[in-house]
Amino acid sequence: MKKNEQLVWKLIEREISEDEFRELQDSLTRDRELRQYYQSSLETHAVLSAHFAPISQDLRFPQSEKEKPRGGTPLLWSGWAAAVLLLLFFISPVDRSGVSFTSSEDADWRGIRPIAGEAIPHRTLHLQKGSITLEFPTQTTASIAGPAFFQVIDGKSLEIFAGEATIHHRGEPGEFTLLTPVGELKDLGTRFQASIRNQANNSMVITEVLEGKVAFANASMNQNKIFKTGESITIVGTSPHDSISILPGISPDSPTENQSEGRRQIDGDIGSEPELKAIDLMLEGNLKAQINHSIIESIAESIDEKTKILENAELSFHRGREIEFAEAAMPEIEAMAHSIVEGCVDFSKISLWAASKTAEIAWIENTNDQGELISRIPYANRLEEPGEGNRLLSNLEKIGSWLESVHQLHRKKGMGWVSSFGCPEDGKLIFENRRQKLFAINQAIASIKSNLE
Amino acid sequence: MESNDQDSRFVDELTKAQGKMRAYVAKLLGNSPATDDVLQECNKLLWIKREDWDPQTTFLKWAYRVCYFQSMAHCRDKSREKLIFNPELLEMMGREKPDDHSHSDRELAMERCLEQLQEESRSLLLDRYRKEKSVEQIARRLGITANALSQKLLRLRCKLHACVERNLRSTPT
Repeated sequence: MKKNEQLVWKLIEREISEDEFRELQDSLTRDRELRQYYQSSLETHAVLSAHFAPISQDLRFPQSEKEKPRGGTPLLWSGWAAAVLLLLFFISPVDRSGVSFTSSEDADWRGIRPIAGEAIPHRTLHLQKGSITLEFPTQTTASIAGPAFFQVIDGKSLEIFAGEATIHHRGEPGEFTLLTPVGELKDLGTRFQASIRNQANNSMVITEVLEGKVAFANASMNQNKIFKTGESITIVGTSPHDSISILPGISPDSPTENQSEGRRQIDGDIGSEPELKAIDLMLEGNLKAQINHSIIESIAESIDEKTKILENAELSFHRGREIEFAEAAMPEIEAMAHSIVEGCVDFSKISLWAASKTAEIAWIENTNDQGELISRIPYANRLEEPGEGNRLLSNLEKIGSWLESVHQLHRKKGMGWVSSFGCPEDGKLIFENRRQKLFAINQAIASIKSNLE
Repeated sequence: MESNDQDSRFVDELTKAQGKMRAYVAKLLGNSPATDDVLQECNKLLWIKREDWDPQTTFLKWAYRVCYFQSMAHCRDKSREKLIFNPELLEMMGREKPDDHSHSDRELAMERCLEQLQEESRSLLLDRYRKEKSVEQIARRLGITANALSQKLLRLRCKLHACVERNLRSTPT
């Protein structure tokens, strides 16, 4: 065996020393064939690991023809997208948890096909259609309706990546946990429903407590949120660890009555529905972007406040006077332009979606067989043409246009116009400075419009 | 096509690609124990971005790209760790896609090769891989040193790999 090949295997087995690693790294950089060897060795290693992995209790070393074919590689059926835990896959036992697959109705499975009455594999399962019922030792019944992707984790927890489940827990409060892409739902007794959906940028869990209480936990929350009978909520997030939004939902049972119920805020206050902005959905889970955007919103609000004062002044400015509005408001316009160009904010770094409204909230409405509304899921619907939104972009354009008017006026009235002493040289300097500011504002506007990030 | 069908097709593709994706990520991470975590992140990202995938295009090509960037991000985060490849090598290896043989091809080849091994060698592999015993534990049972056993396993894997490669070469992709 060549030394480099030996080092490759040592690396794969993670038995390599630092010096050996450096040596192998140099060799790999120089030697394409060695890289190929490394790659194929890894694939062999993966197959070897999968081959001997404890897939089921009755797996034996393949010695007889009967045991040989396993319908392709077990690895191929191991995972579904959002939470393929391969490590778990390799080590998970089949039936140590006491969870039983008690019944199914028109179940259409993809991949692994569990059989009712037999042990449920602890793998990600894909139920395309129909429904099934699982009994957990915690005295919990979980009914899952397809299409659903889920995995029985152990005797007291079930993970649902997508799909709908109804949980009926008759055991000790808090003993059973439903894991979702945005956090954990603990049944404090006795019945709740959960619908888990995944969108392009986030996941949503719509849950309704049919009876009793449910506690929701997410690593970013200081304490669990408790939901009581009749409460229906939508939890939006990207992972069980990142921040989430809890929005009011709609109860599946009586949509008309609960449309107003759905507007109830989670804290229990009766009030108007909190405004849900598309930007909130777009930034969900991205804390840095959220903070950055809240700073931009404050700046936009402040600029809007000042711009509105000038707009109102312009509206009430009577035409026919000897001077134009641009001349009357020149000090305010110039001060505003100055703060835009030479203030502490670099406006050219702001993106179009942060400075205007590029999307609006739309809702996916789900109905039952009777056509009744059972849930609504918000999503960000991109607009063909951006709207004003926080008016940051439109206000910059407005300030730019005011400054342009002042500039044209200056050109018209001659260079000495703005000089206290009518000195053309002073006026020329002011003209040039303003020209540069105008250029900078137009540059910032162009930069925002082209920043579609 | 309905959204459920699209998701179903996506899941099929993603499921089929798992072995290849894992090998690709493992290659870039030097078979680090973090491989499965990074792979899981890739899976999540692919799922989130599933609507970006055009079913007319090769799924794996797109998946490798996502895996590459996730692996690079991991290496960047862990750049202070000792067994992390340098960026030049990562880029080089990132461009070289895994071979065209599927995992099932490789597994069939593996089974043929395992049949040729002696019972003792197969038991050794079974102990090491299936029962997940440490080298020390197995060495103690066999009455040899851990180092000697490591060498033995190393030679065994090399031999097995050479056999698998020979078998694959004789099988068209």
